[in-house]
Amino acid sequence: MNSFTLADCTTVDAALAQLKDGAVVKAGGVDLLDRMKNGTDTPARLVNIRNIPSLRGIQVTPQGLTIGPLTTLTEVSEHPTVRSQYAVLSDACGHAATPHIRNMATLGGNLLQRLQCWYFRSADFECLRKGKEICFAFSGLNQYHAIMDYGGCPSVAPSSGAVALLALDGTLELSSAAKGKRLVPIREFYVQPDANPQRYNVMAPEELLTAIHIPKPAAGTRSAYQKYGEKESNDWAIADAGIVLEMDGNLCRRAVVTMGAASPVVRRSKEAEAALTGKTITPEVARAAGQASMQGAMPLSMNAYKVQLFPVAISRTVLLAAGQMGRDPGAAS
Amino acid sequence: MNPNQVISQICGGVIQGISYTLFEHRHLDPNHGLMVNPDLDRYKIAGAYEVPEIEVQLTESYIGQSSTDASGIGEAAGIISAGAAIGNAFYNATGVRIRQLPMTPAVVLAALNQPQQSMEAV
Repeated sequence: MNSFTLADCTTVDAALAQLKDGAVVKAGGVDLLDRMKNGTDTPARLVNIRNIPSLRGIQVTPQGLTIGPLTTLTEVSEHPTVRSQYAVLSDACGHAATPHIRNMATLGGNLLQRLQCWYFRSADFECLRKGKEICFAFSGLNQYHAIMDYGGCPSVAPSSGAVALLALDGTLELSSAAKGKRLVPIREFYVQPDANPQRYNVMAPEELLTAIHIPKPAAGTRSAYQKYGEKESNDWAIADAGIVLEMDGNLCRRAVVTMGAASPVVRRSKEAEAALTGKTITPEVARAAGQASMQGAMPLSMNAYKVQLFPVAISRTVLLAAGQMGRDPGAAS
Repeated sequence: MNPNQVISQICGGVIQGISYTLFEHRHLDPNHGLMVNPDLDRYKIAGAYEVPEIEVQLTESYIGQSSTDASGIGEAAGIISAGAAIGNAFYNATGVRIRQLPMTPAVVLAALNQPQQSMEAV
């Protein structure tokens, strides 16, 4: 690891004042310290925001939820209102990584972690994302890589929190010392690799994520998230699905289907949503939605199994959200 | 011989056997020869969730091949047999043989997608 200086801040204004000259924000430090130990990131200055009390906690408002980005994944997943009305978020935060990581990792850090690709995460490979013109995954080992919408970089979106927030139509509040606050919907937050391979999201280096807003779900909304890995716990998703259903009895008025480990940016499947909208949810309808989600899939040399896995993940999570099936024993614990 | 130590040796062997049967893989990039999962994040080993209840039945036998009459047990009873036991259980459940480790979801799906093998062929 390189040597660096650390600025310990206890207020948002103090932290914003420090965000200049290549300084990097550290919250829980889970993803950032991994990258520094791997040698892929070598910041000269870290700004520790972990001790800013105003950025932590969950507010229930008439409009929905406002979550401080320093709220830990454990705190989000165990919050009674999140559990009862935003199950997709509670499930997503409660099944990431391991219990001890969830106690340290913040929701903001979960949303802002870098992509998963073992070439990108190794200092030995200078790839497209690091300013070169080559991707090692297409001709190399790509069993955990993307199957859709990958352009020149088939890395996968790692954030389970983003899968849930996209399903719930969340909005991120970004703050900077010079320009104040701006709101960015999560659907516009992440940058597709072909738009700019060296950007992961639209945040500027001098900006800080200061709040996560989630609108209150419509009456009759049910939701769920499930993650599938090779291991039952402590593993990255090979497929995961976030489902939000606005139900009228068993009739689905509106559906949102989101997927994480399929592409470099968390995505909604309009095809799967169309297969659910206006239908009575049955196992057959759920299965059709799962199949529809794979329209346009272009698996790489080693990950065609994901094209079979995602429809199962989506159909079983639709049935879980609709209350027609329990949590899948095959999904991550 | 302390039976608890013997049981503990076998349990440890079974856990490592499950781990290499289902998870462990040293991924080497075919074009550069570098290991791409050189950490315990991507080099997967069995954790607490992946370990089932292990029941050990001891049968005493006299081997007599060392000056103390002691012999190794963890590798023989645990590590070596776990892969065979899981592979046979999979064959018993599905009629399909897997001859590749680790038996990841990708490997299992590929095996299930193969045309059914006949009993005589295995």
